[in-house]
Amino acid sequence: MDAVDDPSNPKTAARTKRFLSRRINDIADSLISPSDVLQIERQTSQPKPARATYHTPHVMDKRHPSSFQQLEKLGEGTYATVFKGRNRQTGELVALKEIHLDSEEGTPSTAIREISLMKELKHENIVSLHDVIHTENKLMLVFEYMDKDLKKFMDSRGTGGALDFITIKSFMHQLLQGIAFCHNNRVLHRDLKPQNLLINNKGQLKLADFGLARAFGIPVNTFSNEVVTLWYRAPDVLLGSRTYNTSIDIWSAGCIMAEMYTGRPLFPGTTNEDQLQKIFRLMGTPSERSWPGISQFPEYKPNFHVYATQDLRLILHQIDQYGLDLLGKMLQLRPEMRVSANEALTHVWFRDLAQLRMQQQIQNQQQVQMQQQMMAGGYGVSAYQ
Amino acid sequence: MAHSTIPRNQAALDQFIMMPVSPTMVSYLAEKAAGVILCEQRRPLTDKHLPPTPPSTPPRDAEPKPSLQPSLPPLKVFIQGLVDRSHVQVPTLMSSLVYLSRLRQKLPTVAKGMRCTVHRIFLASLILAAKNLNDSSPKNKHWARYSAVKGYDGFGFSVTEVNLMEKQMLFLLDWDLRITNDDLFTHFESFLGPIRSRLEVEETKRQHCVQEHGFVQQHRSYYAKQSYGSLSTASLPTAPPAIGVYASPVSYASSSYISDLERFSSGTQASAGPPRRPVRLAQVSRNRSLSPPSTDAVPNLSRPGTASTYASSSRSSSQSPKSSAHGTPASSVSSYVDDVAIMSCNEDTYLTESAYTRRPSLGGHILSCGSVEEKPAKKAKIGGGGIIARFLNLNSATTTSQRVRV
Repeated sequence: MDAVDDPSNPKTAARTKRFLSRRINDIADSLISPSDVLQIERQTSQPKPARATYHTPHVMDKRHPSSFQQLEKLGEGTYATVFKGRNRQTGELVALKEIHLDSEEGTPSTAIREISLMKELKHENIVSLHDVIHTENKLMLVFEYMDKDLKKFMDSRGTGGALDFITIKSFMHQLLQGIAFCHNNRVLHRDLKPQNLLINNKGQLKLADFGLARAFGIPVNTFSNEVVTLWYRAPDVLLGSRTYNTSIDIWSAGCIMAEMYTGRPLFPGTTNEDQLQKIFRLMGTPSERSWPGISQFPEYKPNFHVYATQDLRLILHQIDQYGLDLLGKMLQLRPEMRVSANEALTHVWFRDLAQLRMQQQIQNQQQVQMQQQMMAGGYGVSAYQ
Repeated sequence: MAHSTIPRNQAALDQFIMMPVSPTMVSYLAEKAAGVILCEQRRPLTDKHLPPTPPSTPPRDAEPKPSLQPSLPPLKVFIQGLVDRSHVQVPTLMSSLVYLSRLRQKLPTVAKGMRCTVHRIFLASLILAAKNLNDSSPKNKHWARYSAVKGYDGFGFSVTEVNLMEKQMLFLLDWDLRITNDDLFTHFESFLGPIRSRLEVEETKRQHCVQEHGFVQQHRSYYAKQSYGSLSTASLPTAPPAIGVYASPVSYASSSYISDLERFSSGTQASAGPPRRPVRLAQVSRNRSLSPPSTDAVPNLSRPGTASTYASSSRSSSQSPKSSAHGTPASSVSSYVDDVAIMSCNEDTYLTESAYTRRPSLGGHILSCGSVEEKPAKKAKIGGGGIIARFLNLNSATTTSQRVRV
């Protein structure tokens, strides 16, 4: 960018001459590199008016990747690598999502959507995007830091991955709140799975990774059915639907709920067909009678093995009646039968959530106090508390 | 917008996005793009003589070019070229209006463009619309290729330039790419108005002509479907159409744009039987007919009209679309699947005013932006369906997509 003012650069020099009295300011400064593409000049002879319509984009301010100290790698996705980072000025921990820019593709559409959607989706159950740094060959998204993802959280519990019922209820409520917020704002997440749900030490759960997310509701966009990680993919999508809707996120949420009870994925399929079979084995094989129109799906096979519907309780021994009811409403094969996120939040299963949380809080406080007594005068309890 | 017009507006929108790209649309886009920023016409512009023209005045940028630089194609020709080569469909193409307008609002009125700034701005808007609205879309290297204009040697953007303009556009728009139905109603209004009027007329007719019951029934069910489908995608019944594709390089091309159509035809399945078959057949047959004339035919057709109309600088946009929309018999819409098959033999209609009659979009989408993983090897020729070749040659593109689809 410094090249802009470098008179030794022939192109710049020529332009400087041409636009003698003009100066490139703010935006143009970062905009107009020697190969300035949009080629926009602004006259500064005019006073810089406080124009209502014009505001300096704050997202790509003069920040540089170096304003963050890069710490350990947190994960690697298909199109990005995530590092833990620290803001050098404030000391704040962040998650740095680095997206490599392919010179043939340009800015990936996944990144374009993730950023444009997350800039709008501000909610306590959605991980917040602080900043975007667009450099020559990479795009760095700066997110709030979360301690772990749900998968790691479950694995760290020492219970074979299974969680206690209060935690499950709390996480499900937060998950559905996050989903409801997305859906109310006409956004499909399309990749809900434990790895994309982040947990912090305050017991908060937040939706992350909006790389596959899409706006919906305007009649101008097209959809692919290659969405959602296989194990969490709804049967209608597996059958080849491209007119899926918010209900695909609900299916994923149902799979996640069951997984929190057992510690194991509910439908760990290996292929599209195997995935469908695993679903049918538990939920029963649908037919034209139970699902009118099913034979019209591209991936529908008339010779699907016919399974009878199983009782979910057979594999989820610990679940209570209300929880089972909600889960059953989320895991409906027919998308139009699946409960919506808003409805699910009003389910009777969540009625005692506040009470349970309070109890848990009291228990935690007691634990902390005990620890403090044991470590009397010693080290601080925990940086996280 | 009065509340009562919203359902009708929605119906109009649903029809509009099914239309093929018309020259009127291209002119409208050119006009709007030109209005984003004032561009330098003659090469060395000394600022002291700059009149404080508001950017809303469309610059006369189709003017003769300075001798040293490669000649600059008129914006309309440039846009038509992009449309022809990319086979972008109306929804994506016209949504770029939203970004153009957003950019115009963000740029200070004194902003001044260089010679081809508006070309760049338009291309960047189109790319962002394509990337944002579709699950698969051309890569920038393909857009770079599409940016060359026949008859304007030396003009065209490199992929590096395309990458940069995209990046700058994102920056200028502050990544604000959300598009709502209201945005569409606002920016498509010049096109929706005439459709609405027509719908009203038909509505009245329908009420009066009871004896034409059967005929009317047909329409009614069509419109019902249309508005149903558009209430929100969320409310659509799941439908069969799909050629699964997303990141998969081979099949990439065919599906995404087409699914526009598929999605809307899907609404019909309950009542009118599976629409897929006919649609697909139509696509295929159209593809076949498309091949022989190949790319060259299209620009030829486009040029006469473009050149003459282009210069008009008054923003009388609201008038122009009427010509394309009025008088179109509704039946051509309702039986539209068949129309496509028929019209496909008639390549000449492509750029004529009878926007309604066919839908180039169908075949279009084929266009394979596909070649996702291929090496940068520029001139690689890979047999009949050669991926790179696809972008240079429409015939092979068509072939490939057929293969994919069938």
